[in-house]
Amino acid sequence: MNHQHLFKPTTLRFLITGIFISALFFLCPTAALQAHGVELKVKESAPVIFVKADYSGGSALKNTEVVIRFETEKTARAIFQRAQTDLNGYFSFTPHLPGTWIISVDDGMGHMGEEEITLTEDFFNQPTLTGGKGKSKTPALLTNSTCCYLLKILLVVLLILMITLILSRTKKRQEAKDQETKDHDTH
Amino acid sequence: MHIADGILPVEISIVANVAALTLVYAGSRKVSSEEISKMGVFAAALFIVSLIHIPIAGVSIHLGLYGFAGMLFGLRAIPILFVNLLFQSLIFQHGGLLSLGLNTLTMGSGALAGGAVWHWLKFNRQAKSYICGFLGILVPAVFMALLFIISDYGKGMAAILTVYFIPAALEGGLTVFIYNFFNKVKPEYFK
Repeated sequence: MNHQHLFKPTTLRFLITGIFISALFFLCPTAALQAHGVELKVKESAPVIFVKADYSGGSALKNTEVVIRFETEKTARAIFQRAQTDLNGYFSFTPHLPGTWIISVDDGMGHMGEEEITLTEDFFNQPTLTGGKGKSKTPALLTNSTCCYLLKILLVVLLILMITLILSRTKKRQEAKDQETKDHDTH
Repeated sequence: MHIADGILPVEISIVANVAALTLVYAGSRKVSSEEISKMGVFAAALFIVSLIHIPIAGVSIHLGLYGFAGMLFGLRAIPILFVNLLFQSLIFQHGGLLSLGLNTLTMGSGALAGGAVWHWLKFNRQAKSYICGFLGILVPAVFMALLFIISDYGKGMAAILTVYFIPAALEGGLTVFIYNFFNKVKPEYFK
């Protein structure tokens, strides 16, 4: 079957443009265009530190890079962890030493925020959340971050296939043109 | 196996970028429309499998299919890997843009080794496909260890090679399985 008859050229063009625009829409951090400052709310809940990152406009910093550094009396400032906020702007980490912990958020588009917290021995001596007798909940199979991960994979696959389609069609046209010129020269 | 930005010296990264782009150019020269379609579909499949991590014995491993890419495409596997690594670094922060050349050369070395074994050596095809899959993981690991040793990280970096023997052996087995499947449904791919 000739695949060129599957879609009319106009339909195909619409399809390609549609996929491209949707891909751009999903891949661009649109919230970053709406606000400027970044607010970090830190909650200490031993043994975990919870952080919520929002733009000053109130919208969450989705899937944004977070760098956690720490500094103790004996050690210089060092990177402890690189992470990403979830779709609601939340992330958490588990510190292991008393000292100063610096949490920096940067969306790569000029919006940055930094927060410093000092953790003492008391923080590490508190009864932990997991120390209780309550039953732990079974984690959901598809969390927000898993969905986001799968969506990203899907979009990249669509982008690769779209680029392939465009390149393949361009090349096919070029090959047809070359063949035509060859035939013309032979006649 | 991705090398992040800032791990290796900038000079090495720049040289690697130039070398990788040259190989990408060489691999995409005179490509036909039919080959583009095949390469695109394979790139998409490769992208998916390389992001599915399986926890085994305390470590997380994923399929690379670099050896299989070499079997199917030879030098044309380099542009496929380049596109994959570009999207991985842009969307998933695996590796980086400066180290894109290094990563392309690292993974590409596996594809080239697989391609060389497949096209140049003449013996049982099942055994060859196993060796292609095995080398597809082990050669990049050797290449990466060499890069680290050249960059003064010490000869101890060669120890990381031992870690890659198990995934390489698993990948070899899976490559035989994939080869058998393709050989049944599309035998013309391997002629």
